[in-house]
Amino acid sequence: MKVLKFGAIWCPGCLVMRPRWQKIEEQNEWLVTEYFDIDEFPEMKEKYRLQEYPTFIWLDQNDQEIDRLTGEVSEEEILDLINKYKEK
Amino acid sequence: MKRLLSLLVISVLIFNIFSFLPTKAEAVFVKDVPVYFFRGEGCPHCAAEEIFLEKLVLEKPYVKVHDFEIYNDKDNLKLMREVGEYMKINVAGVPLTIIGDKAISGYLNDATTGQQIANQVEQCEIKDCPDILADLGHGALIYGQPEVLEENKIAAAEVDLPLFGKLSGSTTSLFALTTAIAFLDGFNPCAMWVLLFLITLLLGMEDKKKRWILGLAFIISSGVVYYLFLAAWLNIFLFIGMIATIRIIIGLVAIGAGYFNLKSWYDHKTGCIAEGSENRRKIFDKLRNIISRKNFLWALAGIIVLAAVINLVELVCSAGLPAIYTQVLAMAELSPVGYYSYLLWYIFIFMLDDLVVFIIAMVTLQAFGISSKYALYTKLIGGIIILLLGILLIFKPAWLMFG
Repeated sequence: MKVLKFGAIWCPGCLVMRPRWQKIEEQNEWLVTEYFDIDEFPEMKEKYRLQEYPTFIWLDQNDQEIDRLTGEVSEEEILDLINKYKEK
Repeated sequence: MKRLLSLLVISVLIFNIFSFLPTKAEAVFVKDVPVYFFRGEGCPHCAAEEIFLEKLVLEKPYVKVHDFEIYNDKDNLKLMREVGEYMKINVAGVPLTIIGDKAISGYLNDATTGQQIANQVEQCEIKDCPDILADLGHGALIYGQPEVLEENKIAAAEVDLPLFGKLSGSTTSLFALTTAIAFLDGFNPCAMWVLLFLITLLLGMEDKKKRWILGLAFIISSGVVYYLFLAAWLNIFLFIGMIATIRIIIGLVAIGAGYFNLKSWYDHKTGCIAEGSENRRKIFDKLRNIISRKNFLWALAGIIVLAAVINLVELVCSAGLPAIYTQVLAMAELSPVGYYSYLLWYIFIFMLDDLVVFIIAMVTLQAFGISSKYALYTKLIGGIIILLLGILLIFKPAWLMFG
């Protein structure tokens, strides 16, 4: 399982999510995540049909999307999905 | 001797009686002076004249003001037209004041139109003035139920604040309304993104002093541009007065904006819209170029100009809030200092979240975002307020006359 994180430096919600993810990543060192600033990688917007930021996409081992969260979300919501797709 | 004594006593008594008589202005023998006041509910000039007439009645109790509201009462409108035809005058608008055979159209202020009214009242005290409405056969209607304006509308509780003056119940509402709308406007995320760009760039600068100066210059310039924009709206509304069509259009805009905010709250959208990334990138590059200039003064000038331009371009994302607010403010009939103090307060509240974000970022050296959940609360409260404002602007504009 891998989590793709999409955000932008101009987006307040992305800034709010930054420390939440930092904490989760520190507590779950095995977790693989990748961050994309949408201004640096504009092609991602179409590829993943992004309509708002931040967006977090869960991919399985075959890089297929299995779930996503959008906007400001709580640590619990993120951890729920991490635990749910841990084995994928 | 007896006669002399009697003469003296009678003289003293007469002298005493005269000494207790009122002066000319208060003379009990002065006949009533009817003032026919045609007005419209929600019309600011009518409201200003109404206040003047209240004072005039207090000063000269024999002035009898007969008040005819024409927007909601067709009979009164008919009566005004009838008077117009009889007096051969144009009765296109209100306020229209008839004293004797003189018609005074409009109301500028106490010093000009007010003085004109006072002079005409004085004329009618001295000479016999015709009573136009009685001549038209409406005497019984009028004198049966004279509607004298309320003499004392001063609210019991007043708070004295610098610049704003005395805040009574109604002006406190305006103060609270200003704060609520400015908060809603300020929390608009599309007003924040350029500042976040700037903060990201400023955090890369080594010189702490320059970081603060450039950031504050950006915030202050943004505030000044927005202030000028609000002042322009206010002056438009003050200039055109209370035109019903404009008021209804602004009311509809307010209902739309209220619905939009409530829908955003209901949908619980906390993300940033993905559209417009390309333009944002261009602005980010421009900001970077400005910040990286070696000449600090050029960088400062560039930031100020860019802040002004961006804020003008981004005005559209305020969803009509400045227009709605300034329309309500214009109806309050305040002094110029009062108007501009309210606008300053609006700007202060509007910029508050930007200031908080900037200061925290500069102190912690980390870009900081205010959680959208606060913006959601603002959308809920602000949405309800704006929706109500819209409904009142259309149906009960007089309730919004806070002054």
